[in-house]
Amino acid sequence: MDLLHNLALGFGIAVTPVNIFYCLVGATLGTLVGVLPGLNPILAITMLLPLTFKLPATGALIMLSGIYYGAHHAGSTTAIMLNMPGEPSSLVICLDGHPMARAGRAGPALCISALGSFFAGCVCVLLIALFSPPLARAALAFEAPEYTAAVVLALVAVSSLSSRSLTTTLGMAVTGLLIGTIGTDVNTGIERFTFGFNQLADGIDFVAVAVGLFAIAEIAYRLGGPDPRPHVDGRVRGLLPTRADLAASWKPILRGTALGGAFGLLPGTGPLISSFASYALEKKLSGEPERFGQGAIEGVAGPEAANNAAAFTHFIPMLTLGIPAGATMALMLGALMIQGIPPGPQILTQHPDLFWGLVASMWIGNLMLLVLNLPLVGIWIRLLTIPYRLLYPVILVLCCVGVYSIANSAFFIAVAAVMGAVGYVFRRLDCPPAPLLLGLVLGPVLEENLRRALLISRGNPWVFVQRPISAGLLALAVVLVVVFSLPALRGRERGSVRG
Amino acid sequence: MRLRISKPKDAIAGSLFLAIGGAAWLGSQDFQIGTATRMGPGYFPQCLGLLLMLLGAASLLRALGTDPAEPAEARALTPLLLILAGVIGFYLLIDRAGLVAAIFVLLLFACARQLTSRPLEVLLIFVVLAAFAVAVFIDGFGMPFRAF
Repeated sequence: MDLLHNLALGFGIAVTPVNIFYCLVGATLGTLVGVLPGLNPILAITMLLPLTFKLPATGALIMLSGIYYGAHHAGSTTAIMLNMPGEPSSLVICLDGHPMARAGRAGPALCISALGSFFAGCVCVLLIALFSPPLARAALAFEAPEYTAAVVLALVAVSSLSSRSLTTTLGMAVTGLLIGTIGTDVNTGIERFTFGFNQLADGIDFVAVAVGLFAIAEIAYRLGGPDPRPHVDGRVRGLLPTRADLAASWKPILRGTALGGAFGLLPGTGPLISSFASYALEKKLSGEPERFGQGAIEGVAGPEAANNAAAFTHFIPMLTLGIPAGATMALMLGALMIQGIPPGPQILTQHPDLFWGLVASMWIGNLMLLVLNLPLVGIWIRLLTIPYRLLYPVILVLCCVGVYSIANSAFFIAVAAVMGAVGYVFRRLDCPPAPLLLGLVLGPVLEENLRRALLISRGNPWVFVQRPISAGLLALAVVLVVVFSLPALRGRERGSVRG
Repeated sequence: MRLRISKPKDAIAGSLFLAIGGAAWLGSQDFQIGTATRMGPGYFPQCLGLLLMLLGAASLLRALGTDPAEPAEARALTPLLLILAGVIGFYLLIDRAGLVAAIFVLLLFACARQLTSRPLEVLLIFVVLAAFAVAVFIDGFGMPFRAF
């Protein structure tokens, strides 16, 4: 069995003390991030990514992934206790989780959401292990036209599934692509748009841009508005769910896992949309939909499982194709590149230790999260009331030092400040930053593949339509554009996609 | 039924995209454009500039409507200016005066609004963060800046 052999290899790497340590640090930091209001996974990864530069590649990725899925796991705690989502994708958990807490049933709500997350995590890590090798093999057949099409699809999908009008979000993506052209042109060695700054010869670093957009702009935006006072409602008396809770929850957890697992694969959808879809599904299937919003446990179990399932399968496009499905995955991809690992399907064949070590560590991390979240939930709840005014100075200091460490020079701190001002303007205009970051990371990939594709086809643009895979990917992008430009389908306002 | 700007945010975003796209298009004229087969360094940025101008124009059109304009939200600008000042201060001081001074100036601006109401708290944040940063980044990671 190939799979067993690979998993054995992975566990051999993940179970070494040092990697267990990285996994534990990642999962703990992730839980912290998920619990603290005002910190979301993307900000946490931006902030801590520079600290992983010095770690070995596998350790760095294990830790960053731990932060990511740990935050998704724990985001529901804030939603249930404070009626405030710890990260965007647990928004929907507020609807029924918080009424449960007010009714004195915070314990069962927390327990069911932790069990649901654990189950979804275990299943979806298995999905990653099962589906990545065949997908990566298929992706080895990808050539320049297919990559061009895949990048276009990823950008269109992330833009179209955001809450704003498509022209604005696509505009953000193209702005990101343009920022990505800053620096030396790889084919001719000519410096483009560097405005005489030698430091820009290698391009604008994505960490500096992410710090500007997700830390500086976000902090300034929050501080400019009214201060939300965290207030913990209800006490946690007894964690254990009743037999009736379990009976009502296991089917929603299964359905949520399936839904989230599938949605996580598609670029742009990710955890946020999956949790909303699962909530809608459970409400529809329920015999008594009027209980939803009043503290129905199914409304916690399903979306929480879906959210976590999607958080895991979200990794698959990034790991097998080198095309991130969202802004957080774009940062992970950047972390890989910093470690000197070129993204793409060859990761599985050339760095099997990294891939399988990561997959195995996700299982271990999931188990750690169950332990971290259930018996220790009291500690986390005490952290919920930490006011934002104590958090943002820490974020700023970590970000400034982190940006310095990119090139051991202060220059990119100034870049981050500029991007912070730009990000603030866009934030005030409700323009989501995620498409911009994705565009920035994918810009050089897109230009390189577009050039190569058209060079081989002698400038014939039909090459993208004549090849079946690239035609299919582009067709999907067109469908998304058409569907999301129709006003009737955009009636309901959704939250912005950040994951 | 008079046509007017009913979505000011879309209108401003559209104008911004038009300006950025136009600048990129103009800027890429400095480089060799080339053909689709043999793209010069200006080809890709020029296409992006055109595309962004198109999207900007579309956003502007979408901003027009017959509904009255959405009300502008009130949000204080001071926090942005203070935080930017703090970050720029950090940028200027880190190589010249060391990590502790840089953190001091960063927090001086970024926490300016709590300085009068909670001076002890801000001082405590500074002491803890400075000690942590020196211990972790200089002593631990050996990053190339001085503490003082």
